[in-house]
Amino acid sequence: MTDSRGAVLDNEVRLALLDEQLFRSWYERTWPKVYGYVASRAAGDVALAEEITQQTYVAAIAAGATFDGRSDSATWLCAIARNKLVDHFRRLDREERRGRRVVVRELQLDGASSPATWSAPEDRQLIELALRSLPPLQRVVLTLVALDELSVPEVARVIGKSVAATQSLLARGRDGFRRAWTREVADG
Amino acid sequence: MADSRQPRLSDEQVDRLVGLLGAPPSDLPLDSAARLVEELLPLVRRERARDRRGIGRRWQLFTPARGGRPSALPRMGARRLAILAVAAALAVAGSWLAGAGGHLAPPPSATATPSGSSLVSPTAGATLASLAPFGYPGGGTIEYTSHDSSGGDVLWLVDPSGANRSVFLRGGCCGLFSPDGTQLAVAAPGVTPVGTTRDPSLLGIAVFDRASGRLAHVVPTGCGSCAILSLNYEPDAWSPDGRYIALDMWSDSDPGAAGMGLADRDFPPFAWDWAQGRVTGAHPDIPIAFSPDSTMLLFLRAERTDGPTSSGPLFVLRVSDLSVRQVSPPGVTVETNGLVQGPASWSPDGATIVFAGDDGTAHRTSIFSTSASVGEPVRTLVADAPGATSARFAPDGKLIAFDAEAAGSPFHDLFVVAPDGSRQTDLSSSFDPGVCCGEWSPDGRALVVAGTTSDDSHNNLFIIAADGSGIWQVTNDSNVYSGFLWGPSLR
Repeated sequence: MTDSRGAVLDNEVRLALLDEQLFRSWYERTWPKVYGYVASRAAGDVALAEEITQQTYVAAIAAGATFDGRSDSATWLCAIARNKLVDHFRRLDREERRGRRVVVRELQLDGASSPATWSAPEDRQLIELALRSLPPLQRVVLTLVALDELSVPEVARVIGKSVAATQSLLARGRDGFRRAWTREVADG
Repeated sequence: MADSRQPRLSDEQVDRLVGLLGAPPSDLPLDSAARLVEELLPLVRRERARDRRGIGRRWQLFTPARGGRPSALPRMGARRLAILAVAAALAVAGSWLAGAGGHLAPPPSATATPSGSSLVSPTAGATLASLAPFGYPGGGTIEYTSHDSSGGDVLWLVDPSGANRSVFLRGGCCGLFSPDGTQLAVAAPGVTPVGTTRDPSLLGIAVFDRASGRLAHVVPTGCGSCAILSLNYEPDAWSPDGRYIALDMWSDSDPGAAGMGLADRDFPPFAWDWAQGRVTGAHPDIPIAFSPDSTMLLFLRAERTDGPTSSGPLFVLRVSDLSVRQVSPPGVTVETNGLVQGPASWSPDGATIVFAGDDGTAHRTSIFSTSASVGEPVRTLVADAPGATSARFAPDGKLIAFDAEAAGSPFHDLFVVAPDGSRQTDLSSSFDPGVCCGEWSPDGRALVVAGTTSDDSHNNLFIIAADGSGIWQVTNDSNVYSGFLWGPSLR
């Protein structure tokens, strides 16, 4: 099949951009994966997840001709989404650095005990709350390591920081999550 | 209430907990999904309309990809070359008659010469109404490559007025004027030095005398570096002193064989043999332009190839010792795609290099300027030049031409700017076609561009005056134009 320029079409993205019905079909197939990817990293912030998902598709439409078909298009979309998420958290970080009021909760560092005593340790909402309590860059670094399984150097490249700075953000993010998680679980 | 004495989570446990979020949420907001697709459809329609115009994004030279997938080979390797009416091997007696001044001996057994008889008037066979008047009054000759109905290359010559359009060589492409304008180097299949045998499908370089239309010599003229004859190669830059032709070379089967060569007119014992087989090692380097004093060569070190488009950092090579250094800052890449002659150029005094670069960190394309001297900083000349593909110094050094998306429009216009970044002017704001890749006339008064109102397969050539005084049409043969240059008239 060729497009209006006669170019041989070799991937579904270019096909989707040719026809509205094809686009709808492609969108319906990819949206659950993309939204699922974004929502899991938005830590329960539905508004953020919807916004990032929208930005992802807008960027994909604009860049559709660059998709080379070597990966599944949903994977490609998620890569765009990841960049949008990073951009979002970097923007938040810059805003916080400009002195916007940030509520810092006093967290209690509790002592150790057996995992068997945890209540609902895998409660999604608790995890999301703990993650959302982190400063933006710590949150995005921890997310990229734990969810996207990127190495620290890879994360450093994505967020535009040095490896050392990224390692520091990861360590502080884990520590912050640790404190927040413990508090959330303790609060029941 | 849970036991308040919770375990201290290890790093792995933290990661595992966060990783649990990877499971998709059970409740997907389908209403949100339905709203979003309705918001996206107008964008899809707009992008489809833009694609039909072919402008608004990086110019992509359409070439059918092999096997239905984008080729990873360099730009010429990805082109489907029709070995049509080029005749068989151009067996050349590459004798270079030495003597005072030397001269070129016409080859005794050339079997293909350019056809000079296919004169086509500007309006003959026109399929589109002209978008600008013909008849640009300035001088010179424009060479360009288009494609015939089977996709084969055809190299043309035409006056800037649009008159005297003629086929120079069927199957030839990528013409390069000699510095004095008396010769034209082209890439064509079936070119081989006398006494050697090459795969006739491989591209080589033939240099023609413009006045007679006869083949002057091939590059190299002899087999001093026979291994290189198993590669394709094309001419990309000719040093102003006439001594060197910088070549782009590649293998259709071995990406690792790609490289850049310097053919040296004065190389003993075979004229135009390679100074080095691959001057920069096994890198897919693409020559761009020699410095005015012929001592340095700008080139692109391709790190990414997408069909005909290659992108990577900008480098400069010192011809004397073949040392190289990177010119573009980290994270900034330049691009070439077979239509664009080169994303960078030298000022006429050789002191400054300008280039259109894509800053991946800042997510924007800009026009940059830097000194040719080592250690000088790179300045941003034009910060926001979306989609810019080239930056070309005028012959007098007073202006730099580049094409980029116009403000508020997805289509490319041709801009000029002073070397200090001032006096930026859109020369084609009221011109309907999107335009790309301006090449200066020898007198520096105008630029030839490719323009289209539909898509990349329906270009024509236009001339835009550098002072904004007018726009003229040169060709009325909508086609894929892969490379064009404005050379001097024959004296």
